[in-house]
Amino acid sequence: MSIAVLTQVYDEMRRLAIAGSSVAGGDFRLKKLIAPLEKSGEKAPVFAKVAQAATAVVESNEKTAPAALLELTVLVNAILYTQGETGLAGELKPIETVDLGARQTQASARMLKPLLEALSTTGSGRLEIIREAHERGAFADLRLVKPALSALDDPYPDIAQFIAEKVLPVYGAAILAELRKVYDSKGKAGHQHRLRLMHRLDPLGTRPLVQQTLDDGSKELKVVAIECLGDSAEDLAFLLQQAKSKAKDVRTAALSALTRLDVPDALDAVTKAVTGADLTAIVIALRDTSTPALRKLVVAEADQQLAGLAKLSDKKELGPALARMLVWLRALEGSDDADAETLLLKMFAQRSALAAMSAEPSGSDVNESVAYLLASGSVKSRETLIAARDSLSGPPLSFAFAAARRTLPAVNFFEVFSPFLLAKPDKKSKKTAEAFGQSEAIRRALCDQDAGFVWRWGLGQRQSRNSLPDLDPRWLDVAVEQGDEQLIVHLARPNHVELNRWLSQQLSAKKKTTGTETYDLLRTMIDVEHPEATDAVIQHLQQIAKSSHHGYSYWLMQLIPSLPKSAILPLEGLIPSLPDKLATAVLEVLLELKNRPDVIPA
Amino acid sequence: MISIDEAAVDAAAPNTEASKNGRALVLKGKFLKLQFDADETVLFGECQGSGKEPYRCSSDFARPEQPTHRCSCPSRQFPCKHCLGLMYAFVLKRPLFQVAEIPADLAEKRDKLAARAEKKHEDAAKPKTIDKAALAKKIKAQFDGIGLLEKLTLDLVRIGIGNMNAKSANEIEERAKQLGNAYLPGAQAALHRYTQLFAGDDGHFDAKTSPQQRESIYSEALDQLSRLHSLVKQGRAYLQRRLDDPDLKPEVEIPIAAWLGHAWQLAELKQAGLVETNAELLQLAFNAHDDMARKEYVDTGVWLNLASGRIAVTQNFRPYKAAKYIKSDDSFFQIANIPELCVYPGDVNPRIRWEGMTTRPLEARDLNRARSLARSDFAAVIKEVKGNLKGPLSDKQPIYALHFRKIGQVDGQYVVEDSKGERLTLTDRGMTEEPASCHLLPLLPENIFTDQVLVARFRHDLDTRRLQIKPLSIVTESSVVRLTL
Repeated sequence: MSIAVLTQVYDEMRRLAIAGSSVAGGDFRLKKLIAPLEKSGEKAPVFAKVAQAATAVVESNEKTAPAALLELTVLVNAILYTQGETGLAGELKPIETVDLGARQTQASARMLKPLLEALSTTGSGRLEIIREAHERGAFADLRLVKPALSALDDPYPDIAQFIAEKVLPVYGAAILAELRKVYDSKGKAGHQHRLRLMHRLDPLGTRPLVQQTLDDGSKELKVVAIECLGDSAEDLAFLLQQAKSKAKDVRTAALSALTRLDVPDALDAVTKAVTGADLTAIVIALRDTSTPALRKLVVAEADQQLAGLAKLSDKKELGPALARMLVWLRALEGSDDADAETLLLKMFAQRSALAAMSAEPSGSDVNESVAYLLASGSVKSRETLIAARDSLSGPPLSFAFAAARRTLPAVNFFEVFSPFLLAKPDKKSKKTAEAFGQSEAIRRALCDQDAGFVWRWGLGQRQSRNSLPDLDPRWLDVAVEQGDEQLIVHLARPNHVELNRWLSQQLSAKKKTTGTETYDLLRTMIDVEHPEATDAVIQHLQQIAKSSHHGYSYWLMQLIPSLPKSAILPLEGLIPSLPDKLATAVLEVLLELKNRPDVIPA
Repeated sequence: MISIDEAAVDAAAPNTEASKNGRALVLKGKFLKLQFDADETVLFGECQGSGKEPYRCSSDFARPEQPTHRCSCPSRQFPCKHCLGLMYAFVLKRPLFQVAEIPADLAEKRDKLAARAEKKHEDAAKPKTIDKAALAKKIKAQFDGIGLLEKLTLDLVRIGIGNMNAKSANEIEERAKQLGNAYLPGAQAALHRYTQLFAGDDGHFDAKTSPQQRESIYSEALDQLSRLHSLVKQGRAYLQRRLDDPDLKPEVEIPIAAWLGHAWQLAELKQAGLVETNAELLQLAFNAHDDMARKEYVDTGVWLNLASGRIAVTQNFRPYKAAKYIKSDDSFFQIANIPELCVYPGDVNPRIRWEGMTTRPLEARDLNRARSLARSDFAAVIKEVKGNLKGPLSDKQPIYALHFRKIGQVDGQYVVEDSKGERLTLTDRGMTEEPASCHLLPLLPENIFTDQVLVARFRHDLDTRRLQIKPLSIVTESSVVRLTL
């Protein structure tokens, strides 16, 4: 079959159909093809038919042309449909797959619809649906990949950010092709997420796009592209140039990228920057850098800052200098080199002198940061801090407590630190101030209440706060003995007879059934698998049902999904007696309890 | 005996909210009475609503494959939450049900229904009397409509595809409404399908379409015009035959009647012998999409007949205006046992419908059976597809189950290969009914790419002149991995 001529006919008739059939009559390009068609028609009659149809088009007038053109189209299309190419030559290579772990693609369309709508529409409440779906692993359904990728352009920035940081990285390299296909270097916020994500998943492969963005990208994307540089020495000249930019975001991005380059020019530029106002902007990059010269620079500059503090007496100068000292300490967090350790120990040794510096922030604030860094540092650092416990109070003692918890065996730890708790005076007075402060510090540490401090100075971002070893069981005994409710709530564990008795007594003694303390008691009862926990929750639900205000029910609802599954039946039995609104709320959380896996995966 | 489980009640619900509300009624203890008859063929009860009088609801399983739900509430959802609640109560709290006499009004309705069913059965056996004058009038109107369709089609060719603009698109859309009046909704939809090629995401004519984008739709537009032309020719011949002989029944060999918009009644299909008994179906894929040309949401299920091996489709059309009141179809993970399966006239993947069904769980033997029914000779399938595609009114995107040796990549292009080395390339291009699926392949486990069954949609691309496939799902020995939604 002479398909080549047929495809020529197709192209000509397509051209005529686009232009309009009024130009078809006498079309010389189509006319030229009639003779070869007729020749082919001698061997294959179907070509003769095509020749006839083509002739009809060429000989048509304005009135007959449309029908003639359509006749030819029907005929040619019918033949071409039988000539479609299929195979593809070449070595068949395996598809590189990304293991997503346990996956299921069997969720029903009706179940996925609300999530798809949340990902693709606008309106309130969507982030919660997406977050909840992420937590229950719904995004393991592969069919959600595309909607999730599209949600990077969601008009609500929090959704786009959540998708970029939490949802999409799970899919790994498998989504790179899609990200690259859609990426627009002149685009808006969604493309900033795309570029960061591509760089995170494949730094080398994303380099051409980063370069392209630097050449022709929008201002916002150029800043992201600069952040993505620093993996190659080729970037140096450009980064050095950008580090001088007047725009702070560009300068910060360039300096942050330079912290990844271990070359003298980069070091010079960063050194120059950190002596000025840019220190705060790039402190995270300094903290994360693995460049030895920069690590040394951080220690040296911090040491110099420390030395300078002693020379200052004017509060107006001292305050900013101490603030800058705190920034340098942020840059030291997580550092495991000996110089940093030496510096921190030196600062700890000077804690009395620092404590005497009164300004905003104060020298005591610096002492607290130092204690925090020692507590999360080397064994030597921790041991030094622990050894000094008797001289400490407030947050530094809390940090010494935390360091000891990570360092000492549980039994020794109890013996060393429980006296602080047991020595708590009944009343705070001038005489007992120190003992009171120390007891409070231990209580705070036991209740893990140092998050506020850590947040205030920007520390604690590099380590998990949930990796502490178990406590000696006697801590709970002491807490119950002292009747310290706050401490008990934090230390509670299952199968403690005294604790169970205390919880029952406390709950029945509460006059008010809707306060935070009641919530804490109920929460604790559930956590320690108290045999009366379900009954207590039901009793509270009944009391709420009697009152006209159901506001507290919100907190009670948060508890129900944590109850044992044996609570399902009694709660279902209670529902008919509850007011409709409260019953609906209970039904919602009851569903959560029913759907909760029996064994919560680690 | 009533044999339903929670999944069956979930499936009966028109939407997830109705299902949730039905369950809530049970748990909130809103049912004042929960009863069934001594034979356990009908559930009935009273449910407290917001008003003074409780709603009286019942679910009648006299026909287990097609239960009848009745309720005194004003809800337009069917079944309403009260009937759903009644069934949930039966499944979850059966001991609460008491045997009771069927209320008189319900018994009366049951009798009427039985009488209607009997009459229907008798009527089905009788030859249908046709109002020949009315039919002739209708066919005449259709005939005139075909004339209008021809005129519109020729006008479009005269204008030229490249000269389509908002004004001409609107004019065509306006005039296409007359086709609906001429009992030719199918032809009307075909015309809309042409104008929709030039529309943006909102369904309106997209003036911002760049010349490059327009270039990419010209081939499809030309094919669409040739289809309209064939529809005019074949439709006119078919209507002429019917006009000459009003006794002539709708065409059952080819789908021309459906193309013109004939709404087949199940009784008609049964009368025409287009029915299979005791069919067992496995759903291979499901999607719900917005068909702007038809102005309807379409829920499409792709089903494998485990006896014949034929792949057929269910289509649930939900017009925009009534979508709220029509139950949407859903993915189906069990095996459907269908006493009477009606099969529409069609070629590769005919449309199917049924009135009632029972279900059973999907078992390994079903998957093995499905795998054994897949086509393993790609060359033969390709030949069959090409032969079918040349018909102007044939289904241009048929679905087949292909047993493959391997799925891999050649120069970044996904390729599926059979045991003889015959290959097909995978693409999403031009197949927009389902969401894209090729990008999901790298997320699947490696073992899924060897010796499995690929359910795929074929499409001939007129621009590249390549016949390619889009993956819809993969059938393994343990599951159907769905790639579309």
